[in-house]
Amino acid sequence: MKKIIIIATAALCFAGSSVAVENATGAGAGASTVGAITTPIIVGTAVGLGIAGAVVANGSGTSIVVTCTDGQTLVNGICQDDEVPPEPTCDGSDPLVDGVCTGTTTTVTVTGTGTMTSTITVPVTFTYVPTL
Amino acid sequence: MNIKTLTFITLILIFTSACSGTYHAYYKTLKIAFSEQTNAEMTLSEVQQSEADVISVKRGKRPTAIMALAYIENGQHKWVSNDNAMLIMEKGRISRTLGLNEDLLYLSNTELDPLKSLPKAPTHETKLQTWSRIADNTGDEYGYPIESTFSPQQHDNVQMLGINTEALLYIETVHYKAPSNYIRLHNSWKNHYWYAKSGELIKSIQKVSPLSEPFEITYLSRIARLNR
Repeated sequence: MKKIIIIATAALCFAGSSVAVENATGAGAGASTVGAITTPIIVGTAVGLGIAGAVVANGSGTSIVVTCTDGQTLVNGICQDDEVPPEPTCDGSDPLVDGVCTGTTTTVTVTGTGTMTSTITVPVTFTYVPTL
Repeated sequence: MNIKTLTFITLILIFTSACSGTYHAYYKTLKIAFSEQTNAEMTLSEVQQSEADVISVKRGKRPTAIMALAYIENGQHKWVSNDNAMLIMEKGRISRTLGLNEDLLYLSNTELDPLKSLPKAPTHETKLQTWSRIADNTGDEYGYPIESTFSPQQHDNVQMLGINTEALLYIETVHYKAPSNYIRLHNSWKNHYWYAKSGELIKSIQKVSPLSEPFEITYLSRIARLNR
């Protein structure tokens, strides 16, 4: 009986080894893959025709070149007058230097005591923001 | 790239450069369209060293890809691709697909699929088998009846991995039995199945619906094992 069991076991072992075992590696199977089967097919002829059509459409189009006169700027296809910034002005004849008005005033100072007094006039300059 | 293609590209480039400042975009588009796509290939030793069983799959006119066996569950072989698509096969027949632009969602009556008893013993080969099932596909095509018949076996050879393997070829003629929602000129097609003399399926070319692209599937690991 023992011999029969041993022989049967041995036979089963040999039988098992003759069956081809397929290897499924689960989530790790991706490591054995190459290439894609879902990529869209680009048909060269279709692309060529599409581009040829684009060229024709582009060629038959018209374009208008708008040129504005001096003092105007093209805004959204329309010429608009340039905005003229207001001139800054200073009071009287005060000069405008580097955007700043310079004014001059005189200060009279009396020095001395009694009959020994003298008057000194001192010019004082000041700056201020011009009026727009 | 042949001379006609090269001439065509050159002419297009000349015309576009003369007319438009967007010729760079045209050039890049053409470059992609006419670039040669390379097939994924494996050598015999690479197949033998692969941890997972691998198959070579050519879908339509795309370059050949290598897919690997991820799971065997309930008699279904589940093969995955590098771009996360999956083919689920029962005895070599695609019974479901995932991740494609047109998927086979369901196939009925697979337990009576004649592929499960192929290759037939010589005594049965003269009898043509008919098999009916219902298929659901994406694109609102549900419950479409399909009927197929198998031709007697023919002797053929499969050349792969530098090995010529003698094979038995079975041709399945498939008929789509229902009118389509859309205009369809071809309602029948042929699937091909090559079996090694030992009985293992080593190659098939099959479509799942009239408008779908054919899958050419070669079982690289099986061929490698047969020639070990």
